[in-house]
Amino acid sequence: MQHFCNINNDGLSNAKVNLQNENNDTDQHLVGKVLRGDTLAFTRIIKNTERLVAQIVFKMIKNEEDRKDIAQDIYLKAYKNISGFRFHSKLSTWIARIAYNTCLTYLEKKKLWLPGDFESLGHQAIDTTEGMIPAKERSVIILGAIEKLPAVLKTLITLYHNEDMSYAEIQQITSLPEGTIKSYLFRARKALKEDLLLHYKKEEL
Amino acid sequence: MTDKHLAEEEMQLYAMGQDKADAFIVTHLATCEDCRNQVAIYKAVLADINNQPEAVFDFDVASLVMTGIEPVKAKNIAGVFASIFPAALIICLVTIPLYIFRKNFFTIVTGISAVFIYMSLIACITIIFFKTMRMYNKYQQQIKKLNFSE
Repeated sequence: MQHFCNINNDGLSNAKVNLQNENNDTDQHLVGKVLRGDTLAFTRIIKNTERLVAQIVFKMIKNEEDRKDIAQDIYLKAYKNISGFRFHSKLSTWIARIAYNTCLTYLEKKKLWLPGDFESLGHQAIDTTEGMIPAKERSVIILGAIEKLPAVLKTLITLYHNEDMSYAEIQQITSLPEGTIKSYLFRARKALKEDLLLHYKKEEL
Repeated sequence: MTDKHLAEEEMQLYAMGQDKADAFIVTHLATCEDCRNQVAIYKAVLADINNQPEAVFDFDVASLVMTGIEPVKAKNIAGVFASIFPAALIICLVTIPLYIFRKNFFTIVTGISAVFIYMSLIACITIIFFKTMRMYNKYQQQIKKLNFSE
């Protein structure tokens, strides 16, 4: 779990507060400024959206160096195509979509993600036992199990449970049908539960 | 205890707090220890998912990105000017004379003398006549060149 070193709870909660307090400019205002050549406005857009982009990139890309290149690539694409942004969604959702697609392209290029990965999830037959693992240890097990999930499932779990996004918003980002999103989320939660049960069983033995 | 256990989906929804009102699920959970344990595990999983530490880039994204961005202001202005200027020029060339001669605009046709119209018609008919004659002669020459009779 080397990449967890980059994770900072305090920094993120501060970022959330800053995002709400400082971001008085509307998407339209910021996009307008960028289109008039104001690069500082684009810096503001980066600051407003980098938390969400990080959530997606960290869940989909394991290699730290690649994350750096991908983050740069995402925002360069956003800058290049910002004139094509039609305000059909929030600017953050649009950038999250670019982030998701950029990561997906990277994974496909590196052959790191295959749809077949889903098939191996959630099929272990495990007996249920009473809670034996302390909460802290359980948390580590769950975080480890989340990391073992395929990139797309990890991202869906994060967007739905951590970012409190609706199915419609996730659909805008991933282009997956709502039914597929629900199904993937169901399977991911089931896989996590079964992973935890497997640990309970090991502890029992 | 009920014979049939809860479906995984029902357990997930209950653990997420979306299905608390369903009497069947509540009744079943009150009597089925197995399902109760499963729901408890789902609740623990969801709590840990929700408490996941959030990801933060350990580098300054804005600085990194801005180094790769070229200011496009001048290019944009030039591009916009290049596309707007010809259109603006055409609009000016049409609207300015229309504005200047707006009082005479409706008398353009009625103000023309009969002699001028007659002379214009004669000139047009003459030009059309000579053009037609020239076309006909050219056609005859081309037919002769083909020389079908020999």
